[in-house]
Amino acid sequence: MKKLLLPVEGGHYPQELLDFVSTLQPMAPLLLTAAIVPETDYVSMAGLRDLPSSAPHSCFGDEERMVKYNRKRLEQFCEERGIKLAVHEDREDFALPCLRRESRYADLMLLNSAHFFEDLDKDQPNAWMKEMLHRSECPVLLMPDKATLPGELILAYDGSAASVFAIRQFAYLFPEFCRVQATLVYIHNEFDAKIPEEDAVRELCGLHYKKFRVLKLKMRPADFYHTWIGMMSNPWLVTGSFGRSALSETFSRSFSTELIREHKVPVFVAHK
Amino acid sequence: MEKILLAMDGSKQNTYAIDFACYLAKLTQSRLTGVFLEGTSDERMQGFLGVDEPEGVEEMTNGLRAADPVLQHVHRFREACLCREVPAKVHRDRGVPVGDILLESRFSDLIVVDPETSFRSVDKSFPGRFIREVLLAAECPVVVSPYRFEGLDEVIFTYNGISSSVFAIKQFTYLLPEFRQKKAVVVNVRNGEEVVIEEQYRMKEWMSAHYDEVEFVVLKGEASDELFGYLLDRKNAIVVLGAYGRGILSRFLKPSHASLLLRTINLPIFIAHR
Repeated sequence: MKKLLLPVEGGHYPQELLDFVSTLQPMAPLLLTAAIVPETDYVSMAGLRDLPSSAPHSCFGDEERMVKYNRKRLEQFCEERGIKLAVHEDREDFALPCLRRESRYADLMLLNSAHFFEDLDKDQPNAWMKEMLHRSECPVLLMPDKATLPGELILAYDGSAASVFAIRQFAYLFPEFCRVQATLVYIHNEFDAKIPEEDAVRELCGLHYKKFRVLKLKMRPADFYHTWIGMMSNPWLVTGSFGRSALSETFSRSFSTELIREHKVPVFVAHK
Repeated sequence: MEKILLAMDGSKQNTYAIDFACYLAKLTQSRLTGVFLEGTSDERMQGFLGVDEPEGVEEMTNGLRAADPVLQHVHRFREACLCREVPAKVHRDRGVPVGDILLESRFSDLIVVDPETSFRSVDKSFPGRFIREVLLAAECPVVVSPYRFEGLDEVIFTYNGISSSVFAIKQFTYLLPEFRQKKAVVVNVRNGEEVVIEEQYRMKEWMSAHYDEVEFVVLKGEASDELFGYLLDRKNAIVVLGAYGRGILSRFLKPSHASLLLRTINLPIFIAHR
């Protein structure tokens, strides 16, 4: 049984993510843990972390009522669909450290790539999302509003340990998706660049992903989504890090950001 | 799990290590790759530590001369896998065993090592430098095979609440979901630290999602001593070592202790690093 962590900001109701969870449930049994955290991030208000400062925007009393109401909706939603639910309320703690602690005891964290702390900053991926992506102790799945199950997997590869770690983790967490078309993408701006450890990565991916191919492209990463992504059917990106130095420019922050912001592609991020 | 490596000293064979690796491969329906490591000279071994080391030569066994001393071991390994219906593959790595296996670890799900593996006639330490290097630097989890193996009935997870202990528990669970129905024991050694109730609750919640039967054991005292005492009595169990990493692992790697620890406990040990 997979334990999914679903952050719930105060009185917000994550309808889009719940819809996605209900499509996952028939494929493998789930334990959904809803972590209700403060809608206002007091860490940034106190200037304790390198995040933009935010003002409290909601009245705590209203939030309290909304949390109660949404909690009931959540329980009903899960009961009707046979999803096991656990609710953790950590509303008196700081949101991000709290989610990080929760992530230690979860298999996967679900985040909405459009709405995570959007009341504080609508420009995604905002600082809160980046912070969560860097500090989460379990893989994160960034989902757009209308998320679908994967029709194709894009395995971002640059030869680094981080990229291979993510490819392995995805296969462990989602064996049910290992039969969809998986494409290992290696992008380099030099025409004759060789795919690092090509035989080894082909062997590993070929064992885990039943329909597997390799795509070596000489192009700017930015061109990848204008050409290839558009031709793929419901692609998900699997990547080893998000704006970390370990991953080369190939699938760097700008690339993933563009996918999240413009192309609404689900992104699976895993790092050690 | 799909790809298990069994790292072996090409010049001598440990039947128990093969037996154990075949058990894991059959259980998980994985392919088992026997990596026959052949340290050719101390100079090359030394070279690994430098910058200008030539790459190790990987060679398939086809076409090797019959007089090759490693070939017999390769045949035995293939036969053992065939008998147990485990799909097998063979690599022969010559030259820089540690470098080769560390690179292979990036593209593998699990490495099984025989604790006796050593490549230098002058290296009389136990465990040898090869094992120490692999345990500290492998990019996938490593299992140290036991001396004798008669099956596995329970999983012992060492846990102390820190990130690396939970990471190891998760990796074990993802790689070996077949153990879901075995008894899972979570051992927590406390030396006066306060218990964070919420963390314990979360751990129990996660364990219950993945294992049918979970037992929590709390020991008091110095972690490595208490764990050693606890493990002495256990049989047919596998130990997942993520917690108490520095204490236990350094003790394990210390030549003066390792022999006693490994040979006395005689349990497979699963290690995964963050």
